[in-house]
Amino acid sequence: MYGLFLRALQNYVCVTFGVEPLARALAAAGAPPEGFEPLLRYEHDTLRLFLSTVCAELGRPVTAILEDLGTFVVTDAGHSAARRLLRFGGATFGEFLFSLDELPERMRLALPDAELPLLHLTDLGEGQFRLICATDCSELGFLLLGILRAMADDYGALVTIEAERADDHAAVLSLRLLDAGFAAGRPFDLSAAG
Amino acid sequence: MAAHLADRRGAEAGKTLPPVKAAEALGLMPGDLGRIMPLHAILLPDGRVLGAGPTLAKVFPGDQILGKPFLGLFEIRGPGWIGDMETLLARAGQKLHLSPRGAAAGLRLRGILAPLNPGGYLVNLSFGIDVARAVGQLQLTDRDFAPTDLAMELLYLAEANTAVRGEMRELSRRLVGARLQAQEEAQTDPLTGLRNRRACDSFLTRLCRERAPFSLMQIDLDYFKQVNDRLGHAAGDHVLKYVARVLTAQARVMDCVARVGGDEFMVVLPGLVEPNRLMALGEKIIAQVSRPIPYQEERCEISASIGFSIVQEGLGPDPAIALAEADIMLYAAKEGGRGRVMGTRIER
Repeated sequence: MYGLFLRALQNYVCVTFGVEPLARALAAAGAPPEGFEPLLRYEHDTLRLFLSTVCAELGRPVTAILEDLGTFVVTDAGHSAARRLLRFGGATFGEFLFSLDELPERMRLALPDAELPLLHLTDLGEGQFRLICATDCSELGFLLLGILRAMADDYGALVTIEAERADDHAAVLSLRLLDAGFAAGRPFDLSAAG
Repeated sequence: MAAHLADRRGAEAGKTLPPVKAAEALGLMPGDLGRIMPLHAILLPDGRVLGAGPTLAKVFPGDQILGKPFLGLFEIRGPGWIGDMETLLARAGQKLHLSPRGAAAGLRLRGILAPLNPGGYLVNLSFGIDVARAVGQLQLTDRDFAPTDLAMELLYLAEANTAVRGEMRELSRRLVGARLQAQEEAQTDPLTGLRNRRACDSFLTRLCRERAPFSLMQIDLDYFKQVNDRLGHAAGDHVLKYVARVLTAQARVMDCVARVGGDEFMVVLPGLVEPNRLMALGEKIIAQVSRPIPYQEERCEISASIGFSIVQEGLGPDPAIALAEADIMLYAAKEGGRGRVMGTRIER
């Protein structure tokens, strides 16, 4: 799982900021110059270290980088598989939100040893939702924030999303779905070839 | 009026049919049947289609299916021979294998048929394993499947697997590339475990750059080709490994012993510049190599010719010169009748 994350972060730095900052961040983290393998397992410390060297290299806070990374994973053409797999969650953004509860299981269908934090959505009524991400790495909430914002655009939904709070056990996001059909959204063809 | 038809196209055609309220007979509200079972058909007692779910209509694009005989729309491939209503009805409650006729021919569906209480039949179908093909061919969307259908999960899984397989292919490609590069950068001859030409060259270059005293010995096996020709390459490999052991045993730990070609070896000896010691070393190597080497039931008989060059301290020649001088001596030794050692001192 960390392999996928590290690879995505690596691609984000490379595509957004260039080869040179990536090479410096990899070297500073003691990682091989060719970077990380998405299907290999890495230690939690490797993840922490690379994330902090990326922050230092780019001079940006970790929360901003994670939010950007979330958006990047959904919108970048090189990661179209991630966006497509998320779109299988439902035909509308509302259905997609409810599919988040199932995301760890969906992930495990593809990668049996993947460990994703548990996500729990509560429908508060009148378009208000609360999403709880059970993780001891509360910055992950910002990654989720970036993903959800990009997915809302993908569906063409008008949504406000805020990081409500974060502690040692969970990150909590609050969402307000203002208009599910605000824009046309990006087309999604169930058939991969189409 | 068949009020349960969700599809507009279907609803219009329904006007020509008698208003049998099939959905209501099931106790369902109009339209719900099509949402619960988008791939269903209600058949009249004679087998004509009275009503169909919206997705079933999409299986026959551009065609009107209402009023048509079900057996004209589908070929029932089993179980057993099913060619008329009588044989079809006999399979009520069993798992049916069907293929649509017309544009979507080739899709394999499965289904089940049950008689309805007021008369007629209900058939419900599924795309089964062909769901991905059906989605592509008929341009289906999430809305074309019942919320209870696992089709979305199946499509998701197929696509997730494709993505993972793609990553695995990439990983293998990168690993193969890394292995080739590692082989290229290797310093060891895989057959004998000696150093290779690359390692030997860099060792030699370093000694020359440091203007260190050293000698260089070129060793060429004699009659090796005959062993290969007579007993095969496995015997040849056996001989090469034996020679490697002889050279390693005779050399000192600081020497660089390398296999630099098929049956060519090179030993670089830092600090050893006395011609008599080198002659004695060369002769000892030849003597050991020239003993018959047992291989299976056979004995391999080879010998060696050796040429060496000596480089005194402070000289620091071009490594190519040290190599060329040793080569000249090696060929002189071969010319002189093989199985002998000849050497020279590089002056300059």
